[in-house]
Amino acid sequence: LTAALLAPALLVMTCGAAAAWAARHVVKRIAGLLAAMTGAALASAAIGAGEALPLAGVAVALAQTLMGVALAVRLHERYGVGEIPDIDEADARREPAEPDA
Amino acid sequence: VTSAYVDLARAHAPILAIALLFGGAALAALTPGARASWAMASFAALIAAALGFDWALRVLLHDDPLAWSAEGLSLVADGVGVFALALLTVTAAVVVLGALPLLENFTSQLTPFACALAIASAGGWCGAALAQDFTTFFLFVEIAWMAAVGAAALGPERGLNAAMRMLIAGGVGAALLLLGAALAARGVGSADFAAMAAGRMAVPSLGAAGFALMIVALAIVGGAPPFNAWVAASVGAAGGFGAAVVGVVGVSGASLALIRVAALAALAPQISDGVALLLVGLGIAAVAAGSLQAVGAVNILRLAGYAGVAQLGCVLLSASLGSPAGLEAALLQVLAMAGAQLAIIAGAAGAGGDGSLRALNGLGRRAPLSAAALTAGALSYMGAPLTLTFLGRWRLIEAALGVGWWWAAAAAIATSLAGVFYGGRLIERIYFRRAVSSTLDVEPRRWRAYALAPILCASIFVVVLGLEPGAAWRAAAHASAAMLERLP
Repeated sequence: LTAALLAPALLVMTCGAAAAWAARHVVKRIAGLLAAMTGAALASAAIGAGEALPLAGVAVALAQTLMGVALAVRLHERYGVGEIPDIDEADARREPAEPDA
Repeated sequence: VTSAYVDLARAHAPILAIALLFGGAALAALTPGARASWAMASFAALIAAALGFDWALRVLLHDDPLAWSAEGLSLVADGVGVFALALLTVTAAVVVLGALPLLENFTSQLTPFACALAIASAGGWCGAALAQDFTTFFLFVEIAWMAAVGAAALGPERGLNAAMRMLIAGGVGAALLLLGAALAARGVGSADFAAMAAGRMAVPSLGAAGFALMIVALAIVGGAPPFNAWVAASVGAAGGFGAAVVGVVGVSGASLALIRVAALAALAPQISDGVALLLVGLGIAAVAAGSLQAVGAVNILRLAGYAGVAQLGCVLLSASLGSPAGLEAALLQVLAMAGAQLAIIAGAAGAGGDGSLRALNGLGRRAPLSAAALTAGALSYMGAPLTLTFLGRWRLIEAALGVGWWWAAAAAIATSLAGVFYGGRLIERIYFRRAVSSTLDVEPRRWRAYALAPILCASIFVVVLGLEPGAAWRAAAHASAAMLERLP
């Protein structure tokens, strides 16, 4: 039973982490993060490490999502886009170039 | 009556220090006005630092008993915890006390939150250093990390993007930490660290997997490669204050948490070899990637971020030894790293300008104190003799050669050689180049130097602690011996 619960939880966590790391849009990254944390919380519950740890995981997932949404809104206000490569490109343009002297 | 209250406070110093950091953060956030909230945060951080430092002095240098646990909270004292509390509270106090010039670009609405997040981050790492079980450890690490993300987000210009990168990297790290903590607790057979200290391991394979995941998660938030893409973005782009919170308080806290987890794993002979192998891999990767990236950096804060990664590599290599000598080397290097990073970040703020290396041209004449701090930081990167880094690296090399790990000694020497290159570049610009006209346009303001003086002096003091290292050395030795006293 533990394996049957653990396997889908780990799958959700892995897919979420991959999406959080590689997705182009900020909102998709935050959704990936939420999925990764949910998967990790479910996995920790399936492992049977006690009830406090999964609950702590859920609380942290909620906090991360709220902070992520706030950052996504502020990023959109400042840059006018939500795609990470576009934001990185805008930042790179602001980076002062190093002259020879 | 006063002395009775002081004695009571000293008897409960660890919990009081953490409560002061979090309480001070709440009050600073609620206090209107930039100066008032800064004063509130500085006051709380200073009292916490006094308590943390006094506790470390009593336990690590005057042999007071280590026995302490918090009533109603899952906190406990061990060797690394005592050392970490002193280091992190003092670092937080120095950062906040000298923060006014670093907060120059912040609006008066943002300053209270910046001060609050800085000391909350330190409080989180202090809690992680004293956590008694896996759940408390996980919660405090995440509090510390989220506070650091918030501090980076408040920074100027590119701070938001930096904070988003940190949130994603730390979020993935949090998932790994949660899973690792669950596996480790199941492997140990108890969520309490005391079971690890007793060397018990019910299911070694689960325990090993759990500790490995926890170490990878902490390496991510410490900035070790290959997941360190956030370092350049946050330390390099979140402004001086964000860099100080993330690059000094955050990286030191993550390093100490890593050392504590590595030391706990070293107490279980069934898993210690596997964990050591992982730490070695991460350490070598951090030394190589951090050094190479620092050599190519053209921005002072970014250089500091990458150099911190290289220093973290040496800390990981020291911790991987799993011996009292290795742990001692790791603790000394974290102390030296905090001093060096503070010196560079504060020196860069004192220099003013656009943050590029060009702003350092001729700084030795324009701002001697900032130049001295930057020089001390650069010498520390090199591991030059008479600096604390030299002592930590020497101890690492000694301990590594003692167990036949010549390649770990070679990695420490390679870090210093790379440091000679990028640290030397800073010194060459400061003292051997003339200021170009565009640099003179951003002449450092005199008030900045005065306001930054606490950070600059503290960082120079830490770096040159190598001149008379007796107390720091004894404290690190006592902390590592107390942590590993049950080592088989």
